[in-house]
Amino acid sequence: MRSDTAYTEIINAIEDGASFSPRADWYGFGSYFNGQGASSDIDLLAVCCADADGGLIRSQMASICEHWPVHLIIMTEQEESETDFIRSQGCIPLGSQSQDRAGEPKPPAE
Amino acid sequence: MPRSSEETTVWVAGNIAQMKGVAGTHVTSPNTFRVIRNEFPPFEVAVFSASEATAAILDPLLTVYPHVAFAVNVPKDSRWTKSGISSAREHGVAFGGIGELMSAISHKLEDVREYKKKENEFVERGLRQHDRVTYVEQEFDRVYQIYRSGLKTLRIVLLNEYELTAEHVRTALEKYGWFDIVLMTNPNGSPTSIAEQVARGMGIQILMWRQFLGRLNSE
Repeated sequence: MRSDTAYTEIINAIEDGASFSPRADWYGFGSYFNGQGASSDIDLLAVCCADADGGLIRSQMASICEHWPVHLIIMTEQEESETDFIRSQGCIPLGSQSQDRAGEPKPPAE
Repeated sequence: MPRSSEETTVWVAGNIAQMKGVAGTHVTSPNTFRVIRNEFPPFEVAVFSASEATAAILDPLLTVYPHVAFAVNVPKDSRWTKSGISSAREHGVAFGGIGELMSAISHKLEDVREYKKKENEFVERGLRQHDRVTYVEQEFDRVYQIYRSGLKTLRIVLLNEYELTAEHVRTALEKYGWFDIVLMTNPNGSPTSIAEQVARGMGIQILMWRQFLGRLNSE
């Protein structure tokens, strides 16, 4: 995973927006997050509860999207479930909410 | 958060430097960098960040930096207006986002000024060859008005998403105004069922290329 100015600004924007934007789970995917050399864009996924939340979430990231090549996909939980996007694209959790979830104890292996 | 344009230029140059066939990049000003290629001549790139790429932005930039061969607008969700596209063409420079710049380098063009985005080239060629189409007008990089013989004019938007969501449809409407058709240019792409519902509710069709060619024959 990268750790540059763009990454820092993206994480800050996600965490700053958590207090006033609709709840969303954030993920990174694609070459930028997989460290596969040159990246033409920074792929982000926001999974929200309702279709109506999309506009507010995009507004939250407007400044970031204006200065960095962010490819932002916003989908509802229902759309994510339909497309299995997180698993199929190998999405990586971002932001404190996702970190919290990633840190949850895992069930013991059977 | 304030940030300098040079920071973005350095970031873009750093990514391009990692590409196969690129020996290195040198930032030459806050808005330009030079690409040194292994097998082909070097060239200059202008970098800017604008939600809308217009002639008002391009003309001064390309006048100050007359040796630029490629103009890159960094935001992925920006739109190139007709005036911005005309300005780039009048100055004889190729244009697009970072992805298009990478594509121009990957295609190993001796002169990158000749580069044209494949997505648009494919659609424009298909439209030119269609019997029903009399004239095609490009309004934005992703929006065309299609004039047809004996049938009403259609306004289409090209979207290249792999998973087209409802939010993509709403954002395209907000950005480009009303359109008749979303033409999905990603051959492996598909709309989610909610995206289909939202589009249908607004009287918009989401079509793949072959469906679209057939649609051009009906009212």
